[in-house]
Amino acid sequence: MEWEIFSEKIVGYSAEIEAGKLKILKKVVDKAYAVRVIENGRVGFSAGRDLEKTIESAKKIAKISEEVLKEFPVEKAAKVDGLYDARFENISNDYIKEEYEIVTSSIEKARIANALIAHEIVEVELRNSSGAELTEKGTFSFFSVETVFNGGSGFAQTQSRKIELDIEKTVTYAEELALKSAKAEKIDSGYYDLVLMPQAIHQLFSHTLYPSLSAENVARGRSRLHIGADLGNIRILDDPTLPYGFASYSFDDEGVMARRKVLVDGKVLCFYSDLKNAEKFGLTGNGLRISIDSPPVPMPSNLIIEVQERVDKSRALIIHNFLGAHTANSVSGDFSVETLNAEFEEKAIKGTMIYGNIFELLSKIQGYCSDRVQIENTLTPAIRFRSVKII
Amino acid sequence: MFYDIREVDISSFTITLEDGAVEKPKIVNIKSKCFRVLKNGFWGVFIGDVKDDEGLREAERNVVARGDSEVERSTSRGKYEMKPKIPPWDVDVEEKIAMLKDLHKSLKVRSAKISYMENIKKFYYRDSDGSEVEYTVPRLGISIVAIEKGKTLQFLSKRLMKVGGFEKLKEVFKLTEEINKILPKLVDARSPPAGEMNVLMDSKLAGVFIHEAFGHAAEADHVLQGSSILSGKIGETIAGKNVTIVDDPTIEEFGFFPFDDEGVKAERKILVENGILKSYLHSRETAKKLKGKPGNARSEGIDFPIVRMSNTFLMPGDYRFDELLELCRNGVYLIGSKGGETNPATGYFHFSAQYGYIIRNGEISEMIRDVGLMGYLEILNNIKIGRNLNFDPGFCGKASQTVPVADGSPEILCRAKVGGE
Repeated sequence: MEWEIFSEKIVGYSAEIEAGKLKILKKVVDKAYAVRVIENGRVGFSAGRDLEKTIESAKKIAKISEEVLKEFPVEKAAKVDGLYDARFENISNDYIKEEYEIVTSSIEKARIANALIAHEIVEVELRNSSGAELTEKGTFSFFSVETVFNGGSGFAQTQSRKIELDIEKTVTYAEELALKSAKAEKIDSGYYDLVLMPQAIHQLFSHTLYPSLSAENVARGRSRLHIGADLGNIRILDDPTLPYGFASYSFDDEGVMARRKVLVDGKVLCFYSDLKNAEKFGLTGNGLRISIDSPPVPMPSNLIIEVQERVDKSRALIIHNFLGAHTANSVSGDFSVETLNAEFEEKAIKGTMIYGNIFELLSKIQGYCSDRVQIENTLTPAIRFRSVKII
Repeated sequence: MFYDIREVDISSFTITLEDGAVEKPKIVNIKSKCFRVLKNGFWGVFIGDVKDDEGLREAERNVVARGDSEVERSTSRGKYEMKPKIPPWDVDVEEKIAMLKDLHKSLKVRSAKISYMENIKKFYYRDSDGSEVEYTVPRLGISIVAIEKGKTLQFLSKRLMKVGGFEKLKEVFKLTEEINKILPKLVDARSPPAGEMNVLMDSKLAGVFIHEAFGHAAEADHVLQGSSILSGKIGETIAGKNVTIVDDPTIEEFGFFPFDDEGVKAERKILVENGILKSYLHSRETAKKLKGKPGNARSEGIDFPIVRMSNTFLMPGDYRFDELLELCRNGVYLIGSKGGETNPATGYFHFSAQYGYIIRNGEISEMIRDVGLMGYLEILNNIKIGRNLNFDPGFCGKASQTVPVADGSPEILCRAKVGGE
């Protein structure tokens, strides 16, 4: 019998702010195990807090599995800078109170409806019957804020592998959005050039583009894409080795070494893959777990979006956030989504939808119009697209 | 000082059939505790599987400031155990796999993922006022995602999810019948028209409409945050006289619970009656601050409970479907839901249908795909409501927590903005 034991220990601190006041301070301590076994070539999976019981459950369920895997891999961990910040070990309640003070002092006219400050230390261990013994300690900080002003609202978020969070800038951005949104007007339907700000890019691409670059989806005929498919003026890298990247790691959740790869350079060059699909798509080190309770599946790490030419934002509809991006079609790439914070020629816009298809949208890229920032696992500048249907 | 201790033990079993083969079957057991201490108006919280005195000490250590939080103090005592006719855990795993394989065989599509899920939640609650509550509730369900290619590559997903036992799955083959009927046409369906128009929704989509258009804005934490357009509107007319909206966790649909996550006994709550806003949904804290009734605090697993919906529905009206079709005259008939999202601060919401049809001169005409809709609360001032109430199960996300819910409605006719070509 082949086996793999994956464990995750989390120590997390978070503060919740409601109506501008610090309301909750929370500490979480959790350790859980996820076990996979290969018995007679069949893979069984179980997760729980008790290792012995979890192993027994995995062995039991392997009997009904028809998923085939030969063995678990032995690979080294990649060297990646910025995964761990030792200062997290000494986070005090006073530090989080100071962060809260920054939240409240950063806002002037609007009000904080709610905000979340979170810091987490995650210690991962992976051992398997092939001889792998890997450990990684990672740190994660996250901040999100929703602001309101006279019937308008704004949302912004930031994250880091370091203890410092850019709270002031994020609150200021959310406040600007709320102030503008309070004066929002409707605009006529028609075709407009569009600038998607980084938050909007992440929301739209996560639900329309990224699933089509999954090896599993390609293998099962659930993606429109194939190697060589033309995606226009865009380069997309999947890079788990990016220093200080929010989705960086030294080995994936199956023990495969983290690898930087170019997924798209005008044309599709490769897909992100787990171990199961590696025979066909190569070992890319993207076998990741949605949570400790789930077996590894192909998932992207840091997705770095590169666009060639710098352009301006003039006479374009600028969209900061979407409402309902998750309802877009992850298979066809079609979307019909609502703008949450948008502006046109300095005036905020409300009640607007955009309609289209992600692959057609990519063919309309005109260039980038800001520095690149990281929003969750997407690193992107604002991108300008020509002539998109606005309703 | 007030404190409470919540202990949750969830065991789940999942089988996934990927293109006919059993893949990634899993057994998961989650057990942990959440300790909350409310002192000086501030919540200190600790989550971890430790003894009670240690957990409470850790939670109290997190009381780092003074605040204005206070809770409705009430003492609950009770036990509840849902005993299904056919307990899922008594059904052989081979029988479950055979059912999934039969479902797969009955599908005529390019690719399909069929998932079976069963879980049993054991919940224990006690607080400093002497409350002691425990319950056991099983949930189970089947979801199918089918993929087909025609002029476009498309998917159609259907699911049947309930509280209770295996007997609740007896109509599961209706899911594959609908997929076989619709998906081959959906791949060649045209894009929807664009603009504001008459929209006739089936009960599944209309349920999500009520959830997004109204339900989230009625959550009292949004009211206290100043981010709900329903703030200060109790007793005011916010919808047409034909609109009555209820949240009822005691109905055995997917959003069922006997006690909420603050130990409060579940109760049916009329939120809107004949167009007048009667109540918000409340936690113990929002109930205290806004003089409401608690019982709507829920959490994912053992996280901090927040105000949530359960089984939320629009009461039936008088219109037959053919009457709604005739009244619509020209517009779209939209079916099934791909989910939605709302911004309670502005009242704008967005939701998407799985597919639909053009309505021309009161007749159902050609099929349309990828239909997104947007609207705002005022739409409820002028809707026409059908007769047949149906519930659709789903998962609702809020503040990074996901809980099972059911949205219910008859068919409705309204005007809304459709995104299309």
